[in-house]
Amino acid sequence: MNPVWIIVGIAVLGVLVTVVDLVVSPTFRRLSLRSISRRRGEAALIVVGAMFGTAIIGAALIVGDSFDGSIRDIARTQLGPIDIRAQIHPDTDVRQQVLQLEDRVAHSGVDHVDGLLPAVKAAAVLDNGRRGADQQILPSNCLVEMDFAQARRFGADDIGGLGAAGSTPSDGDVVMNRKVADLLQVRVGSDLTVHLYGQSRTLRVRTIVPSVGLAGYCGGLVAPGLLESMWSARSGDDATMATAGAAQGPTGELLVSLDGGVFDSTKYSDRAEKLVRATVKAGGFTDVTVDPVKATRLDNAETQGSQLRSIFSGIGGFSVVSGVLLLVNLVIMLAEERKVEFGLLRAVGFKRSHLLRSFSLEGSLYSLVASVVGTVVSIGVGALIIVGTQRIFAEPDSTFRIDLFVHWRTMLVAAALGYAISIVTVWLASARVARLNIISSIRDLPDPRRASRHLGRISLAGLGVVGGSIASVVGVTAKSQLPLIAGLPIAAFCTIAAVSQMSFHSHQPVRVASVVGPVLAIAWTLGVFSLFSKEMEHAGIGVFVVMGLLLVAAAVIIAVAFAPLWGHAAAARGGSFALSCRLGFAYPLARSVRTGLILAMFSLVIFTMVFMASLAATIDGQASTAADELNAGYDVLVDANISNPVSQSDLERRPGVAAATTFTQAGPLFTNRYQRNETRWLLSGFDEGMLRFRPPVLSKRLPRFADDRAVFEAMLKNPDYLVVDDQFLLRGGGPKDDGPEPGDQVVMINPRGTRRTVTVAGVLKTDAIYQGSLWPKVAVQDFMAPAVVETRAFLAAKPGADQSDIAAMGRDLEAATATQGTTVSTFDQVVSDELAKTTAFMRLLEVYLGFGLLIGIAGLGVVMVRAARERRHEIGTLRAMGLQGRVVSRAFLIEAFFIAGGGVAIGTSLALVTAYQVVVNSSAFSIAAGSFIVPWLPLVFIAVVPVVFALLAAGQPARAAGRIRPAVALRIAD
Amino acid sequence: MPILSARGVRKIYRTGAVEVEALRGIDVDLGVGEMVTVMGPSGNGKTTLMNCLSGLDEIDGGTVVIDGEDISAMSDARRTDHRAGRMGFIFQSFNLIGVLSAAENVELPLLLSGAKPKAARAQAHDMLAKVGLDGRDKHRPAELSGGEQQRVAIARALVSEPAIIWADEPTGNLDSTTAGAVLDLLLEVHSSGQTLVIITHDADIGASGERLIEVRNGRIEYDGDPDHAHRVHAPR
Repeated sequence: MNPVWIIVGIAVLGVLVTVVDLVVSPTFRRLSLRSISRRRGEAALIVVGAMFGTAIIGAALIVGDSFDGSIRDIARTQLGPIDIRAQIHPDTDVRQQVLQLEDRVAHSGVDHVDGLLPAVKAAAVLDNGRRGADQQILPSNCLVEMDFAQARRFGADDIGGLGAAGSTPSDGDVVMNRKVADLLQVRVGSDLTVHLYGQSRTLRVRTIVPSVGLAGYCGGLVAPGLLESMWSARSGDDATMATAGAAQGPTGELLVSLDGGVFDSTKYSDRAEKLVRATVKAGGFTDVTVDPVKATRLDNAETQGSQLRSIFSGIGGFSVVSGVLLLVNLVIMLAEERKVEFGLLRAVGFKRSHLLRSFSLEGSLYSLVASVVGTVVSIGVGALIIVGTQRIFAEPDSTFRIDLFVHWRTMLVAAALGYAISIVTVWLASARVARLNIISSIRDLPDPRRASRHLGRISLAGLGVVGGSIASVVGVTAKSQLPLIAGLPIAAFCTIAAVSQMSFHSHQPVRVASVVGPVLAIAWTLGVFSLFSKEMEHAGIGVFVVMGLLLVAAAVIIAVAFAPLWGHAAAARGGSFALSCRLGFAYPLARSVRTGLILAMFSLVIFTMVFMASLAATIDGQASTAADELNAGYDVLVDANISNPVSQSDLERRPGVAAATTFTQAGPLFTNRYQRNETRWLLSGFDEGMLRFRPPVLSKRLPRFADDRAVFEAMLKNPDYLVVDDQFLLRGGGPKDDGPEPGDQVVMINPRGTRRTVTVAGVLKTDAIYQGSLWPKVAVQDFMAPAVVETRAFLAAKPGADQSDIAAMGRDLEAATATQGTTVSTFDQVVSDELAKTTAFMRLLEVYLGFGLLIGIAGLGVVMVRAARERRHEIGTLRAMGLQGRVVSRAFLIEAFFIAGGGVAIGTSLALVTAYQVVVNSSAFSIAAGSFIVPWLPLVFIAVVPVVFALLAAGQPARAAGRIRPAVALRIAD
Repeated sequence: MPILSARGVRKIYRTGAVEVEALRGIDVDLGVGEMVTVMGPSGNGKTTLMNCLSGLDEIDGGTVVIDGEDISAMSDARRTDHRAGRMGFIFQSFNLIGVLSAAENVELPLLLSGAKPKAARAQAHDMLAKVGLDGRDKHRPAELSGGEQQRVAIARALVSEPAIIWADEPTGNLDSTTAGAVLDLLLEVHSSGQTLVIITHDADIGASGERLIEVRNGRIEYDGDPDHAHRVHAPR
């Protein structure tokens, strides 16, 4: 059963119980509502604190939905009725072939087909033809030819987007979609120049249609025959021929539409794809790739959405845990404040269940309001994240954008999750409250210890010790990361719990356990990466979340155990400040559970923020190293349009260029150990030119090779080897659970369906330039032809050229070959841009975590407000004895500083150690491996801001405490 | 020369539009080393009188002069300092600071007066020993009995050797045996020459002082010999 539904069930149960108690029981209703209305300010603070949890959960879900929805929307804007595409690779007379294929498929009895549409498509550079600043060029777009009348009949619904497009374009005309027209700044009647196959052709924009369906499939729809005629014309003169030598010609495409609308047709996709494949094979068609384009797109959307949802939920999980800790704290404080009242209620006949329901009702009302408000706030938080994400991933020439998608169902789930977490916390805390001892409650004394309860707790803790130990053993033997990392620390924590429940004559055993246990837990949690490096190599985000929780829990226990030493040290100095210190430390130390919870709340969020900042800084710092690792000693990277590539000889003739090496590229299907589904992945073909200076750096290689060069040289001789990138066949962002290893067997499948098994000889250390896997150029050509293009090159500047010479060389080349869609970048630039996206995304996550900090700060404020109220009587006594108001205020601020500062210290130090461990030992962040950078500036910001805000939050209650009038606080009755 | 001289002291409690005059022009002098007991029905202003005369609360009229200084004219900070140096308090509900140990509670007034922590701790130990709590100095209030808690409160009130000790129903929460022991302790304190003001409902305690003040409706109804007061109020 989906856990979400269990949580929703809990929420529904909570609401039902609340409604029943409100309606049926006037006593519970009266007690709860009056308690709330008596302290409205505090009620508002509690709601605000609890609300952030829901907001964080909701925002994570909205981000997932928005990515999912935006990627899915491509199915509507760029595919419309297209479900399956059979692509006939460049050859002569692709039109004729596609018509033959159409005929075969039409008569093959493929189920649920509601339209076939033959088309011819070519990559092209689109140019608005103006000069100077007004010139707009889209270097990698496409043109498509189709019959508009047939296209309008394609697909059952009006989702083709060509309803208002008029007739099929004639020679010299082009029909464009709105998004591309806007990017190029062209209108109806404007000229559009298209560059392909070494030629340029100027067309008149006849119609601009909405960017939907077939109209969004390519930037321009042109007259049938144009693309093939230009392809044929490339042989017209020698110069053009030289330029277009490695270009990819037009592809024939048979587009298949299945029954249903845009999003509901994929259920027929699998079967239809198989049948089309069979038809292709039976018809003797070669070099045809059949792709379930829409299903792939929608699957991809779901995967991306779900991964982002899990990244944000995982990171936000720290904040949610903080929210839960805050809520537990608040409920405990509420209960303690009303201890006498509850004792009296029990004395006059309230059963435990009555007390539980009455107290739960109040908590439920807070939770309900918090979940509703939090859900609304989550839309704003989600929108902010989406705006941030748009800025990070915005590409100037891209028509894709991430939009905010808010589904009512998601909002309901977010509200239910937020409420369920809160109400379960309230129920558990209420159950504890309901077990109070009547006499000691009425007399406001601590509960007497009960032997039976102790025995139960000791047994439970004992079970935890055994369970934790078993989990660690299982983790080691089954190579399961979570039990491996968590088992031993859980056993250590349970040992402390067991020892603390036992009766000893001194506190020493508990103190020893409280230090030794957590130290062991920390040592294990951090050391597990070194001890079990193989098992922990591909640690996923869940492992880091658990790791953070374990480390923080252990450190908080140590901090609370050692804190009296700080208090004594501060108090030993004498004077009013020492007195403030003594009081500031005395209260949190006397309530170690409550203090531990608030400290943990702060530490957790700071831990995650510093962890992210450390990784971001380390990744940032790797830009130049990473560029050197992948550039093979060359200076710039050149990419051109596949219809208009620049040849190696042309590149070598450019001024300032000392050497050039080109790469062929193709997209075969792959399967391997961890990717059983046939997955298309980029394959780059290299030759000896790539090894001219030095080979790209590998992170791992087969032991039989002495160095990286030996791997590539062996591949050139023996194409049974393959070098893959570090993310090979892994999808989505964030740390992965698995990854490529030397010796892995990989199956490659070409468009003809031929399979070839190769062995991974090495793994690239980084692939920020998207080379994919590397294989000898000849082998790529043999296996993948004709679906091979040669559009990428590395250029080396002449010896002695400095960075400005290299930049000038790039600018010259780009200007001279703009109509070939050429983009020239230094490796440093490409890597920096890529890494900047990663680090910007991590910073976005840090901002998202900032909401967790708000929980912490709001929580501390609430705790301080309540503390001022709770200690009113004692403050009155102290003031009566002659303690100045400012000393009381200062004690409150010292208490807040102890918690916030302690949280910052714990979170920061643990995060730095953990990040270091991860960078050094885990391949999950392989780009950062090797050197660790401490993010000093963000660190100061992360450390100072929460403390300052915590002190500000504590300022008002501190002032209020200092202003308490002794006679009023003492409430001495005559 | 009285250590405390109050003239025309008035105190009004305001709750919304309602005003209650708790003290209606009190004139009273307390001599050095005097033991005064204050009696009267509940809600008639005994504690308010203590609060106003000790400077715990502000007054709405009149003057309270202690050691020649008008504490009613002082700022809150000065009045607080004055309390720290010159007064000790013992309350019915002990009012110990729950998060501090017995010794830490007792040494607080010394620390407030600027004593060095080590010296303060040593004095606190001595004082706890004097009140019969030797060896209980590390215990927190919750770990002590009611009588022990009140002894700690007395030790705390005495440790800085204040000029005036105010005890508000010091035996109100104690059984008769413990109450007797506490009273003996207070009488011992008084014998050392400190001014002691005890607010009480207990007629025996009221009679144990040198001077009895009876408060009714915010006014002093009787101020004199406790024995005479008994005769005045004895049923005919």
